[in-house]
Amino acid sequence: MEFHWDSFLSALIAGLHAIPQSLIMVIGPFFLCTVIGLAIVALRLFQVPVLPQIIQIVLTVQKGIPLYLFIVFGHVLYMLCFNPVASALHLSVRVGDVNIMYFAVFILSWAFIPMFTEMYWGAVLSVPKGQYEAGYAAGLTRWQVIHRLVLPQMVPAVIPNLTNMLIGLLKASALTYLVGVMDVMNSALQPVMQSYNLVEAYVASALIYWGIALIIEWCMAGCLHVLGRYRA
Amino acid sequence: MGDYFTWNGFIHFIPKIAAQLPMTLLIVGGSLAIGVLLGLLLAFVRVFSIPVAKQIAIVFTSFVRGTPEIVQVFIVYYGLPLLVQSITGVDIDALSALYFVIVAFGINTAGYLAELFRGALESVPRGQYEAGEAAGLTRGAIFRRIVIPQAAKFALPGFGVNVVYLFQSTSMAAAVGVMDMMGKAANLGSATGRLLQSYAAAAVLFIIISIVLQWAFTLLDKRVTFGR
Repeated sequence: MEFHWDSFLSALIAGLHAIPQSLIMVIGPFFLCTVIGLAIVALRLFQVPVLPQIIQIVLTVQKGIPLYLFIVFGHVLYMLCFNPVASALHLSVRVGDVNIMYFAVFILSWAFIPMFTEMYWGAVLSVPKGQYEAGYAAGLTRWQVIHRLVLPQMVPAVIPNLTNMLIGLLKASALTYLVGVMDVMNSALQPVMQSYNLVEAYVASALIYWGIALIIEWCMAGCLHVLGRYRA
Repeated sequence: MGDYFTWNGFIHFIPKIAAQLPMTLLIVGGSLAIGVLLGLLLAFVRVFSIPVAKQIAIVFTSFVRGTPEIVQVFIVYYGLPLLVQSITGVDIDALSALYFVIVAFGINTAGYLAELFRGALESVPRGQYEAGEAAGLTRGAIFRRIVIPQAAKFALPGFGVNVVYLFQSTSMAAAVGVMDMMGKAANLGSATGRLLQSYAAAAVLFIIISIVLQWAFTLLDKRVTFGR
Protein backbone atom coordinates (compact mmCIF):
# COMPACT_ATOMS: atom_id res chain seq x y z
CA MET A 1 0.00 0.00 0.00
CA GLU A 2 1.59 3.24 -1.11
CA PHE A 3 1.00 6.15 1.23
CA HIS A 4 0.99 9.37 -0.79
CA TRP A 5 2.89 11.77 1.47
CA ASP A 6 2.33 14.75 -0.83
CA SER A 7 -1.47 14.26 -0.63
CA PHE A 8 -1.16 13.72 3.13
CA LEU A 9 0.75 17.00 3.57
CA SER A 10 -1.61 19.06 1.41
CA ALA A 11 -4.61 17.57 3.27
CA LEU A 12 -2.89 18.27 6.62
CA ILE A 13 -2.25 21.92 5.72
CA ALA A 14 -5.84 22.38 4.45
CA GLY A 15 -7.16 20.73 7.62
CA LEU A 16 -5.00 22.92 9.88
CA HIS A 17 -6.46 26.04 8.22
CA ALA A 18 -9.96 24.84 9.16
CA ILE A 19 -9.18 24.45 12.88
CA PRO A 20 -10.89 27.79 13.76
CA GLN A 21 -14.16 26.53 12.20
CA SER A 22 -14.02 23.32 14.23
CA LEU A 23 -13.13 25.22 17.40
CA ILE A 24 -16.11 27.57 16.87
CA MET A 25 -18.27 24.43 16.84
CA VAL A 26 -16.77 23.43 20.19
CA ILE A 27 -16.69 26.77 21.99
CA GLY A 28 -20.05 28.08 20.69
CA PRO A 29 -22.07 25.06 21.85
CA PHE A 30 -20.07 24.99 25.12
CA PHE A 31 -21.26 28.52 26.02
CA LEU A 32 -24.83 27.96 24.83
CA CYS A 33 -25.14 24.60 26.62
CA THR A 34 -23.61 26.06 29.79
CA VAL A 35 -26.16 28.88 29.91
CA ILE A 36 -29.14 26.65 29.11
CA GLY A 37 -27.86 23.72 31.22
CA LEU A 38 -27.31 25.90 34.29
CA ALA A 39 -30.77 27.45 33.80
CA ILE A 40 -32.35 23.98 33.76
CA VAL A 41 -30.30 22.98 36.82
CA ALA A 42 -31.47 26.15 38.62
CA LEU A 43 -35.09 25.20 37.88
CA ARG A 44 -34.48 21.78 39.44
CA LEU A 45 -32.48 23.18 42.36
CA PHE A 46 -35.14 25.70 43.33
CA GLN A 47 -37.86 23.03 42.85
CA VAL A 48 -39.90 25.01 40.36
CA PRO A 49 -43.13 22.97 39.88
CA VAL A 50 -43.91 21.05 36.67
CA LEU A 51 -41.39 22.70 34.32
CA PRO A 52 -38.27 20.65 35.32
CA GLN A 53 -40.23 17.41 34.94
CA ILE A 54 -41.44 18.37 31.46
CA ILE A 55 -37.91 19.39 30.47
CA GLN A 56 -36.54 16.08 31.87
CA ILE A 57 -38.98 14.07 29.72
CA VAL A 58 -38.08 16.08 26.62
CA LEU A 59 -34.33 15.66 27.27
CA THR A 60 -34.70 11.90 27.92
CA VAL A 61 -36.56 11.47 24.62
CA GLN A 62 -34.02 13.64 22.81
CA LYS A 63 -31.10 11.55 24.14
CA GLY A 64 -32.52 8.58 22.23
CA ILE A 65 -31.93 10.27 18.84
CA PRO A 66 -28.49 9.58 17.34
CA LEU A 67 -26.43 12.69 16.60
CA TYR A 68 -26.15 11.81 12.88
CA LEU A 69 -29.97 11.65 12.58
CA PHE A 70 -30.39 14.73 14.79
CA ILE A 71 -28.18 16.80 12.47
CA VAL A 72 -29.75 15.67 9.17
CA PHE A 73 -33.32 15.85 10.56
CA GLY A 74 -32.64 19.29 12.01
CA HIS A 75 -31.16 20.42 8.70
CA VAL A 76 -34.21 19.27 6.72
CA LEU A 77 -36.51 21.10 9.19
CA TYR A 78 -34.28 24.21 8.99
CA MET A 79 -34.31 24.26 5.18
CA LEU A 80 -38.08 23.74 5.02
CA CYS A 81 -39.15 26.10 7.81
CA PHE A 82 -36.70 29.02 7.64
CA ASN A 83 -38.21 30.87 4.67
CA PRO A 84 -41.88 30.50 5.74
CA VAL A 85 -41.03 31.63 9.30
CA ALA A 86 -38.93 34.56 8.01
CA SER A 87 -41.79 35.62 5.71
CA ALA A 88 -44.31 35.36 8.55
CA LEU A 89 -42.09 37.63 10.67
CA HIS A 90 -41.74 40.06 7.73
CA LEU A 91 -37.97 39.53 7.58
CA SER A 92 -36.15 39.86 4.26
CA VAL A 93 -33.45 37.30 5.13
CA ARG A 94 -33.68 33.92 3.43
CA VAL A 95 -32.08 30.58 4.29
CA GLY A 96 -29.43 30.96 1.60
CA ASP A 97 -28.26 34.26 3.13
CA VAL A 98 -27.41 32.72 6.50
CA ASN A 99 -24.00 31.15 7.10
CA ILE A 100 -24.48 27.43 7.76
CA MET A 101 -22.09 27.71 10.74
CA TYR A 102 -24.90 29.35 12.74
CA PHE A 103 -27.06 26.31 12.14
CA ALA A 104 -24.19 23.94 12.98
CA VAL A 105 -23.50 25.68 16.31
CA PHE A 106 -27.25 25.76 17.10
CA ILE A 107 -27.87 22.09 16.30
CA LEU A 108 -24.77 20.87 18.18
CA SER A 109 -25.80 22.98 21.19
CA TRP A 110 -29.30 21.52 21.13
CA ALA A 111 -27.93 17.98 20.81
CA PHE A 112 -25.58 18.38 23.79
CA ILE A 113 -27.97 20.15 26.20
CA PRO A 114 -29.04 16.87 27.93
CA MET A 115 -25.44 15.86 28.63
CA PHE A 116 -24.41 19.30 29.87
CA THR A 117 -27.51 19.46 32.10
CA GLU A 118 -26.66 16.10 33.67
CA MET A 119 -23.05 17.14 34.12
CA TYR A 120 -23.93 20.39 35.88
CA TRP A 121 -26.61 18.70 37.98
CA GLY A 122 -24.05 16.13 39.15
CA ALA A 123 -21.66 18.96 40.02
CA VAL A 124 -24.39 20.80 41.98
CA LEU A 125 -25.17 17.60 43.89
CA SER A 126 -21.50 17.26 44.81
CA VAL A 127 -21.71 20.49 46.84
CA PRO A 128 -22.85 19.52 50.36
CA LYS A 129 -26.20 20.87 51.57
CA GLY A 130 -24.37 22.26 54.59
CA GLN A 131 -22.74 24.88 52.34
CA TYR A 132 -26.15 26.33 51.52
CA GLU A 133 -27.18 26.33 55.20
CA ALA A 134 -23.88 27.94 56.24
CA GLY A 135 -24.39 30.65 53.65
CA TYR A 136 -27.97 31.39 54.74
CA ALA A 137 -26.86 31.31 58.42
CA ALA A 138 -24.19 33.91 57.58
CA GLY A 139 -26.90 36.16 56.14
CA LEU A 140 -26.14 35.67 52.43
CA THR A 141 -28.95 35.91 49.91
CA ARG A 142 -29.81 32.98 47.65
CA TRP A 143 -27.91 34.50 44.70
CA GLN A 144 -24.87 35.23 46.93
CA VAL A 145 -24.84 31.60 48.16
CA ILE A 146 -24.96 30.41 44.54
CA HIS A 147 -22.24 32.62 43.11
CA ARG A 148 -19.92 32.84 46.14
CA LEU A 149 -20.19 29.32 47.55
CA VAL A 150 -21.80 26.83 45.17
CA LEU A 151 -20.39 27.83 41.77
CA PRO A 152 -16.72 27.98 42.90
CA GLN A 153 -17.06 24.50 44.44
CA MET A 154 -18.82 23.18 41.36
CA VAL A 155 -15.99 24.13 39.01
CA PRO A 156 -13.36 21.52 40.02
CA ALA A 157 -16.13 18.89 40.20
CA VAL A 158 -17.24 19.67 36.66
CA ILE A 159 -13.83 19.81 34.95
CA PRO A 160 -13.21 16.05 34.36
CA ASN A 161 -16.64 15.60 32.77
CA LEU A 162 -16.29 18.89 30.91
CA THR A 163 -13.09 17.55 29.31
CA ASN A 164 -15.07 14.60 27.94
CA MET A 165 -17.86 16.92 26.78
CA LEU A 166 -15.48 19.24 24.92
CA ILE A 167 -13.80 16.28 23.22
CA GLY A 168 -17.28 14.92 22.43
CA LEU A 169 -18.20 18.27 20.85
CA LEU A 170 -14.98 18.22 18.83
CA LYS A 171 -15.80 14.74 17.50
CA ALA A 172 -19.42 15.72 16.85
CA SER A 173 -18.26 18.75 14.84
CA ALA A 174 -16.89 16.32 12.24
CA LEU A 175 -20.47 15.27 11.43
CA THR A 176 -21.34 18.79 10.28
CA TYR A 177 -19.83 17.87 6.91
CA LEU A 178 -23.36 16.54 6.28
CA VAL A 179 -24.71 20.10 6.19
CA GLY A 180 -21.82 21.54 4.20
CA VAL A 181 -19.67 23.03 6.95
CA MET A 182 -16.00 23.27 5.94
CA ASP A 183 -14.60 21.81 9.15
CA VAL A 184 -11.23 20.05 9.52
CA MET A 185 -12.36 16.80 7.87
CA ASN A 186 -14.20 18.41 4.97
CA SER A 187 -11.35 20.87 4.33
CA ALA A 188 -8.71 18.12 4.42
CA LEU A 189 -10.63 16.30 1.66
CA GLN A 190 -10.59 19.22 -0.79
CA PRO A 191 -6.94 18.94 -2.00
CA VAL A 192 -7.28 15.19 -2.66
CA MET A 193 -10.58 15.23 -4.55
CA GLN A 194 -8.87 14.91 -7.92
CA SER A 195 -6.32 12.27 -6.93
CA TYR A 196 -8.79 10.25 -4.80
CA ASN A 197 -6.10 9.68 -2.13
CA LEU A 198 -8.87 9.76 0.45
CA VAL A 199 -7.11 7.62 3.08
CA GLU A 200 -4.31 10.19 3.35
CA ALA A 201 -6.86 12.99 3.84
CA TYR A 202 -8.79 11.11 6.52
CA VAL A 203 -5.57 10.14 8.34
CA ALA A 204 -4.44 13.79 8.25
CA SER A 205 -7.78 14.99 9.66
CA ALA A 206 -7.70 12.23 12.32
CA LEU A 207 -4.25 13.39 13.44
CA ILE A 208 -5.46 17.01 13.68
CA TYR A 209 -8.51 16.01 15.74
CA TRP A 210 -6.32 13.83 17.96
CA GLY A 211 -3.89 16.70 18.51
CA ILE A 212 -6.69 19.11 19.45
CA ALA A 213 -8.19 16.49 21.83
CA LEU A 214 -4.81 16.04 23.54
CA ILE A 215 -4.44 19.84 23.89
CA ILE A 216 -7.95 20.05 25.40
CA GLU A 217 -7.08 17.28 27.90
CA TRP A 218 -3.81 18.95 28.82
CA CYS A 219 -5.43 22.39 29.27
CA MET A 220 -8.29 21.01 31.36
CA ALA A 221 -5.85 19.05 33.54
CA GLY A 222 -4.01 22.33 34.12
CA CYS A 223 -7.31 24.07 34.98
CA LEU A 224 -8.15 21.32 37.44
CA HIS A 225 -4.74 21.64 39.06
CA VAL A 226 -5.17 25.42 39.49
CA LEU A 227 -8.86 25.56 40.37
CA GLY A 228 -8.93 22.46 42.54
CA ARG A 229 -6.08 23.62 44.74
CA TYR A 230 -8.26 24.48 47.73
CA ARG A 231 -10.45 21.37 47.62
CA ALA A 232 -10.62 19.39 50.85
CA MET B 1 -45.42 21.56 5.40
CA GLY B 2 -48.33 19.39 4.27
CA ASP B 3 -46.43 18.35 1.15
CA TYR B 4 -43.44 17.23 3.20
CA PHE B 5 -45.08 15.52 6.18
CA THR B 6 -48.29 13.55 6.55
CA TRP B 7 -49.19 11.46 9.60
CA ASN B 8 -50.40 8.64 7.34
CA GLY B 9 -47.10 8.53 5.52
CA PHE B 10 -45.16 8.75 8.81
CA ILE B 11 -47.01 5.69 10.21
CA HIS B 12 -46.55 3.92 6.87
CA PHE B 13 -42.77 4.47 6.95
CA ILE B 14 -42.22 3.07 10.46
CA PRO B 15 -42.48 -0.67 9.60
CA LYS B 16 -40.38 -0.17 6.46
CA ILE B 17 -37.54 1.38 8.47
CA ALA B 18 -38.02 -1.07 11.37
CA ALA B 19 -37.45 -3.92 8.87
CA GLN B 20 -33.79 -2.87 8.81
CA LEU B 21 -33.44 -3.30 12.60
CA PRO B 22 -31.77 -6.74 12.17
CA MET B 23 -29.06 -5.05 10.07
CA THR B 24 -28.50 -2.41 12.77
CA LEU B 25 -28.39 -5.11 15.46
CA LEU B 26 -25.94 -7.11 13.32
CA ILE B 27 -23.61 -4.11 13.23
CA VAL B 28 -24.00 -3.63 17.01
CA GLY B 29 -23.45 -7.35 17.73
CA GLY B 30 -20.46 -7.69 15.42
CA SER B 31 -18.85 -4.50 16.71
CA LEU B 32 -19.43 -5.53 20.32
CA ALA B 33 -17.85 -8.94 19.72
CA ILE B 34 -14.71 -7.34 18.25
CA GLY B 35 -14.77 -4.54 20.83
CA VAL B 36 -15.05 -6.84 23.86
CA LEU B 37 -12.25 -9.17 22.71
CA LEU B 38 -9.88 -6.38 21.66
CA GLY B 39 -10.84 -4.27 24.68
CA LEU B 40 -10.10 -7.12 27.08
CA LEU B 41 -6.73 -7.67 25.41
CA LEU B 42 -5.86 -3.95 25.70
CA ALA B 43 -7.03 -3.89 29.32
CA PHE B 44 -4.93 -6.93 30.28
CA VAL B 45 -1.88 -5.48 28.56
CA ARG B 46 -2.23 -2.25 30.57
CA VAL B 47 -3.12 -3.85 33.91
CA PHE B 48 -0.19 -6.27 33.73
CA SER B 49 2.19 -3.65 32.26
CA ILE B 50 3.48 -5.82 29.41
CA PRO B 51 6.41 -3.80 27.97
CA VAL B 52 5.97 -2.21 24.52
CA ALA B 53 2.42 -3.61 24.21
CA LYS B 54 1.34 -1.31 27.05
CA GLN B 55 2.65 1.79 25.23
CA ILE B 56 1.00 0.67 21.98
CA ALA B 57 -2.26 0.12 23.88
CA ILE B 58 -2.07 3.60 25.47
CA VAL B 59 -1.46 5.30 22.10
CA PHE B 60 -4.15 3.20 20.37
CA THR B 61 -6.75 3.97 23.06
CA SER B 62 -5.91 7.68 23.05
CA PHE B 63 -6.19 7.83 19.23
CA VAL B 64 -9.49 5.95 19.11
CA ARG B 65 -11.04 8.02 21.91
CA GLY B 66 -9.71 11.33 20.54
CA THR B 67 -10.78 11.05 16.90
CA PRO B 68 -14.30 11.27 15.49
CA GLU B 69 -16.08 7.96 14.79
CA ILE B 70 -17.02 9.10 11.28
CA VAL B 71 -13.33 9.66 10.44
CA GLN B 72 -12.49 6.18 11.76
CA VAL B 73 -15.26 4.66 9.62
CA PHE B 74 -13.92 6.38 6.50
CA ILE B 75 -10.30 5.40 7.29
CA VAL B 76 -11.29 1.73 7.64
CA TYR B 77 -13.66 1.83 4.64
CA TYR B 78 -11.09 3.35 2.27
CA GLY B 79 -7.86 2.17 3.91
CA LEU B 80 -8.51 -1.46 4.88
CA PRO B 81 -8.83 -2.73 1.27
CA LEU B 82 -5.55 -1.01 0.37
CA LEU B 83 -3.81 -2.44 3.45
CA VAL B 84 -5.11 -5.97 2.88
CA GLN B 85 -4.16 -5.81 -0.79
CA SER B 86 -0.62 -4.67 -0.02
CA ILE B 87 -0.13 -7.45 2.56
CA THR B 88 -1.95 -10.40 0.97
CA GLY B 89 -2.59 -9.28 -2.59
CA VAL B 90 -6.32 -9.98 -2.11
CA ASP B 91 -8.68 -7.24 -3.32
CA ILE B 92 -11.50 -6.88 -0.78
CA ASP B 93 -12.85 -3.66 -2.29
CA ALA B 94 -15.96 -5.42 -3.57
CA LEU B 95 -16.91 -6.65 -0.10
CA SER B 96 -20.05 -5.13 1.38
CA ALA B 97 -19.52 -1.92 3.34
CA LEU B 98 -21.16 -3.71 6.28
CA TYR B 99 -17.95 -5.61 7.09
CA PHE B 100 -15.83 -2.44 7.12
CA VAL B 101 -18.37 -0.69 9.34
CA ILE B 102 -18.33 -3.60 11.82
CA VAL B 103 -14.51 -3.51 11.93
CA ALA B 104 -14.47 0.29 12.35
CA PHE B 105 -17.03 0.32 15.16
CA GLY B 106 -15.37 -2.73 16.72
CA ILE B 107 -12.08 -0.86 16.92
CA ASN B 108 -13.83 2.24 18.27
CA THR B 109 -15.76 0.25 20.89
CA ALA B 110 -12.53 -1.52 21.91
CA GLY B 111 -10.96 1.84 22.76
CA TYR B 112 -13.79 2.74 25.15
CA LEU B 113 -14.21 -0.77 26.59
CA ALA B 114 -10.46 -1.05 27.21
CA GLU B 115 -10.65 1.84 29.67
CA LEU B 116 -13.83 0.44 31.23
CA PHE B 117 -12.36 -3.06 31.64
CA ARG B 118 -9.08 -1.65 32.96
CA GLY B 119 -10.96 0.25 35.66
CA ALA B 120 -13.03 -2.82 36.49
CA LEU B 121 -9.96 -5.12 36.70
CA GLU B 122 -8.14 -2.62 38.91
CA SER B 123 -11.20 -2.42 41.19
CA VAL B 124 -10.81 -6.08 42.15
CA PRO B 125 -8.73 -6.09 45.36
CA ARG B 126 -5.20 -7.59 45.21
CA GLY B 127 -6.20 -9.87 48.06
CA GLN B 128 -8.46 -11.80 45.69
CA TYR B 129 -5.47 -12.74 43.52
CA GLU B 130 -3.45 -13.74 46.61
CA ALA B 131 -6.36 -15.79 48.00
CA GLY B 132 -6.57 -17.65 44.70
CA GLU B 133 -2.84 -18.35 44.69
CA ALA B 134 -3.00 -19.49 48.34
CA ALA B 135 -5.80 -21.89 47.38
CA GLY B 136 -3.53 -23.40 44.73
CA LEU B 137 -5.39 -22.11 41.64
CA THR B 138 -3.52 -21.46 38.38
CA ARG B 139 -3.38 -17.91 37.03
CA GLY B 140 -5.97 -18.73 34.37
CA ALA B 141 -8.31 -20.27 36.94
CA ILE B 142 -7.92 -17.21 39.21
CA PHE B 143 -9.02 -14.99 36.35
CA ARG B 144 -11.85 -17.22 35.20
CA ARG B 145 -13.31 -18.06 38.60
CA ILE B 146 -12.45 -15.09 40.85
CA VAL B 147 -11.36 -11.92 39.07
CA ILE B 148 -13.55 -11.74 35.96
CA PRO B 149 -16.89 -12.42 37.75
CA GLN B 150 -16.14 -9.57 40.20
CA ALA B 151 -14.78 -7.23 37.52
CA ALA B 152 -17.86 -7.89 35.36
CA LYS B 153 -20.10 -6.47 38.11
CA PHE B 154 -18.05 -3.25 38.20
CA ALA B 155 -18.01 -3.01 34.40
CA LEU B 156 -21.70 -3.63 33.78
CA PRO B 157 -23.12 -0.09 34.21
CA GLY B 158 -20.48 1.43 31.91
CA PHE B 159 -20.90 -1.46 29.47
CA GLY B 160 -24.62 -0.70 29.19
CA VAL B 161 -23.88 2.95 28.46
CA ASN B 162 -21.40 1.90 25.76
CA VAL B 163 -23.89 -0.48 24.14
CA VAL B 164 -26.57 2.23 23.92
CA TYR B 165 -23.98 4.69 22.57
CA LEU B 166 -22.82 2.09 20.00
CA PHE B 167 -26.41 1.45 18.91
CA GLN B 168 -26.87 5.16 18.23
CA SER B 169 -23.43 5.54 16.60
CA THR B 170 -24.18 2.83 14.04
CA SER B 171 -26.44 5.37 12.32
CA MET B 172 -23.18 6.71 10.82
CA ALA B 173 -22.95 3.48 8.80
CA ALA B 174 -25.39 5.15 6.39
CA ALA B 175 -22.54 7.49 5.37
CA VAL B 176 -20.83 4.59 3.56
CA GLY B 177 -24.01 3.18 2.11
CA VAL B 178 -24.96 0.48 4.62
CA MET B 179 -28.72 -0.13 4.48
CA ASP B 180 -29.38 -0.09 8.22
CA MET B 181 -32.30 1.83 9.78
CA MET B 182 -30.70 5.22 9.11
CA GLY B 183 -29.70 4.23 5.59
CA LYS B 184 -33.22 2.99 4.87
CA ALA B 185 -34.70 6.23 6.22
CA ALA B 186 -32.42 8.31 3.97
CA ASN B 187 -33.17 6.06 1.00
CA LEU B 188 -36.96 6.15 1.54
CA GLY B 189 -36.92 9.89 2.09
CA SER B 190 -34.90 10.57 -1.06
CA ALA B 191 -37.01 8.22 -3.18
CA THR B 192 -40.35 9.67 -2.05
CA GLY B 193 -39.25 13.28 -1.52
CA ARG B 194 -40.46 13.02 2.09
CA LEU B 195 -37.22 13.25 4.05
CA LEU B 196 -38.94 14.87 7.04
CA GLN B 197 -41.34 11.93 7.34
CA SER B 198 -38.69 9.24 7.02
CA TYR B 199 -36.29 10.92 9.47
CA ALA B 200 -39.11 11.46 11.97
CA ALA B 201 -40.05 7.76 11.72
CA ALA B 202 -36.39 6.75 12.20
CA ALA B 203 -36.11 9.10 15.20
CA VAL B 204 -39.16 7.50 16.86
CA LEU B 205 -37.71 4.02 16.35
CA PHE B 206 -34.29 5.00 17.70
CA ILE B 207 -35.89 6.66 20.76
CA ILE B 208 -38.01 3.57 21.56
CA ILE B 209 -35.13 1.11 21.11
CA SER B 210 -32.65 3.28 23.07
CA ILE B 211 -35.11 3.57 25.99
CA VAL B 212 -35.74 -0.21 25.92
CA LEU B 213 -31.98 -0.91 25.89
CA GLN B 214 -31.34 1.51 28.78
CA TRP B 215 -34.19 0.00 30.78
CA ALA B 216 -32.91 -3.54 30.11
CA PHE B 217 -29.40 -2.68 31.31
CA THR B 218 -30.78 -0.88 34.39
CA LEU B 219 -32.74 -4.05 35.28
CA LEU B 220 -29.69 -6.25 34.65
CA ASP B 221 -27.52 -3.97 36.77
CA LYS B 222 -30.04 -4.13 39.65
CA ARG B 223 -30.06 -7.94 39.51
CA VAL B 224 -26.27 -8.22 39.39
CA THR B 225 -25.60 -5.70 42.16
CA PHE B 226 -28.38 -6.96 44.45
CA GLY B 227 -27.24 -6.97 48.04
CA ARG B 228 -24.02 -4.99 47.34
